[in-house]
Amino acid sequence: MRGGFVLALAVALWWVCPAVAAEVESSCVSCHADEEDEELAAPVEEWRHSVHAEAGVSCDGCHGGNPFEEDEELSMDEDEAGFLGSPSWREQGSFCGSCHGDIRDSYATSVMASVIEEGETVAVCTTCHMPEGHDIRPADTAEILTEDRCSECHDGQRAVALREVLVDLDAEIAHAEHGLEALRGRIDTSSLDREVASLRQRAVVIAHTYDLERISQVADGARARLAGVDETTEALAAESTFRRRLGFGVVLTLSLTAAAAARWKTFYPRRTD
Amino acid sequence: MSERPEHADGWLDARTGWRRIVRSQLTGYLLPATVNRWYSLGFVLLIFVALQFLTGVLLLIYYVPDARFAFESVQSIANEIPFGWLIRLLHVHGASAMVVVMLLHMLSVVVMGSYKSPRELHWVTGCLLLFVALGLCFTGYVLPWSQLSFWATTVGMNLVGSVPGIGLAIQKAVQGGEVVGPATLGRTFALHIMVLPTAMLALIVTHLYLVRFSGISAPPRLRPVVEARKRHFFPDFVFEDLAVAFSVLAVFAAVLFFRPHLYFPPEAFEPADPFVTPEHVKPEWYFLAPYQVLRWIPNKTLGIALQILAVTAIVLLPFLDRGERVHILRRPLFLASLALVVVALVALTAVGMQ
Repeated sequence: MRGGFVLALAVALWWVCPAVAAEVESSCVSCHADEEDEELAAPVEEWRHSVHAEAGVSCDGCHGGNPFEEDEELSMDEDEAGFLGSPSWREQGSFCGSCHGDIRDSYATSVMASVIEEGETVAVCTTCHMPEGHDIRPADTAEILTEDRCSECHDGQRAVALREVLVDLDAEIAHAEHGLEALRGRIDTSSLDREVASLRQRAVVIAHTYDLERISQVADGARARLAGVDETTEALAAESTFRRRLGFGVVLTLSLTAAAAARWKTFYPRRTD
Repeated sequence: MSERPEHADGWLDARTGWRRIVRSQLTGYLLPATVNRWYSLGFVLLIFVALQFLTGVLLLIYYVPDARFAFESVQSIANEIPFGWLIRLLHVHGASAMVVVMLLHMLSVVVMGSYKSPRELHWVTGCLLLFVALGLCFTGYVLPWSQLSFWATTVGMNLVGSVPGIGLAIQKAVQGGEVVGPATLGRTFALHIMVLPTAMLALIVTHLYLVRFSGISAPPRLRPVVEARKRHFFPDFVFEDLAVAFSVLAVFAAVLFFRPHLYFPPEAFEPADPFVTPEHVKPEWYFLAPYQVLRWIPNKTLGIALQILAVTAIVLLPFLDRGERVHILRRPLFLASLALVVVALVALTAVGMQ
């Protein structure tokens, strides 16, 4: 009997293991990770900590190439594999914008985009999102928009004002998200989630215009909508609490009834035939 | 002298014979004294089926079986109709609870060898009840017309289409076309609220009739003894059944109230969109094991054929296992096979959840 259990367990484990081990990496990752040249190997480890890795966007998502091709030459062939390589400083907008189109369009209206063609050195995508390598993360507005950094080209006070508006808006959106997060799994917050996500996306997109007046206008509109979200979140929290209390009552009643049913039969004379 | 007035119950008894029915089915119905609490799972199952019928009827009041309005109507039930959330959660959680209890009931029958002669048909009707219940779960999954509904149904229908021979015909008939679409909703709605519930009721009546006809089996003993002692169904077993039923319902309520979204991934809150495929589409937990097997077997038709073979063997179990020994410890090979099946099913489901 014991042998049967061991056999069953062994077969089940044998069956399960191949699926656990069946994760396939792209040839870009597997080859570059083994590179001796640190400059070629480092991006792999950096990328593993990036928002792109979290979202399942691998090397070929930005640089092209064929991640299923093991041959180095073929995998990075421009014609056969559509390899793009790394963009020049000026090409970054369209390179990243192939996926982040709304942000590219927003950036295109900014004063920075207007002078980029004139050869001016301005902030581009990698300046804020890839400052130290391929560990691409959402930029922290408070760290980036500092008087020191921005005053090299602009009026430093304007950067401070811009930062204040964006940081305040970010905090208010984060507050709304936090409130909804606390209710996750307890009550349906999907419509509010969608609204807050759209507000955050709008804030991110408009931030790339670096236009204080437009950003302030959007921030005011967003605040009004966030106030409505907070109000609804509070109502949902109250509803969730009510449901939990109701749950306590129902579980307690059912448990007591079960105990009573187990005891009640003793009140009847036991008969056996 | 006026005639003595007849009592209402006597009047009714003379016309319906209800006293005889109560005597034969409750107070005079005797069961082996050794019947244990595992036998109460059948009663628990009846409660969950009744709960599904009741909550299903209440949901029907507000649900709109039209692809343009189905999602909004379900959202309205969950968020706007007073206590609509509770009715919906009872129905959703109740479906899973029904499958869990059904599987436990079948497992207890297998362990106690209750499927053996002369109760082969109890087992067969029980298996058919499980298939109908799974059919109800599958068709019910479609109705909210969310992203989860749409894409899980697409996966499920593709699996149905892989059944050798008749698969494609069934897939097209249920889908109402080449792909899952608005026509699918109408067809699964008809199946969910009329065809399958009727089949379930008919099978339950048949199953209960067979149980009464052949009688309930006594739990097997290692050393055979002549067990003549009997106990009354009422009050003894009725109260035991109630105690088990309320205990199970307490656990059920705890899950429902404190893990209400256990069966709702984020895709359940998005309306169906045929042009946006969610990243991870998975069937409901009770279909994960067969789904996982199909993921591992490269040939889908072969995978389906093997599973049909396995299911057929399970349905025909009483006719394949005709040995005299009933106690599970006296059948080590059978016990090992059963353990293997249970461990494999649990492991496959766990892997499928990853």
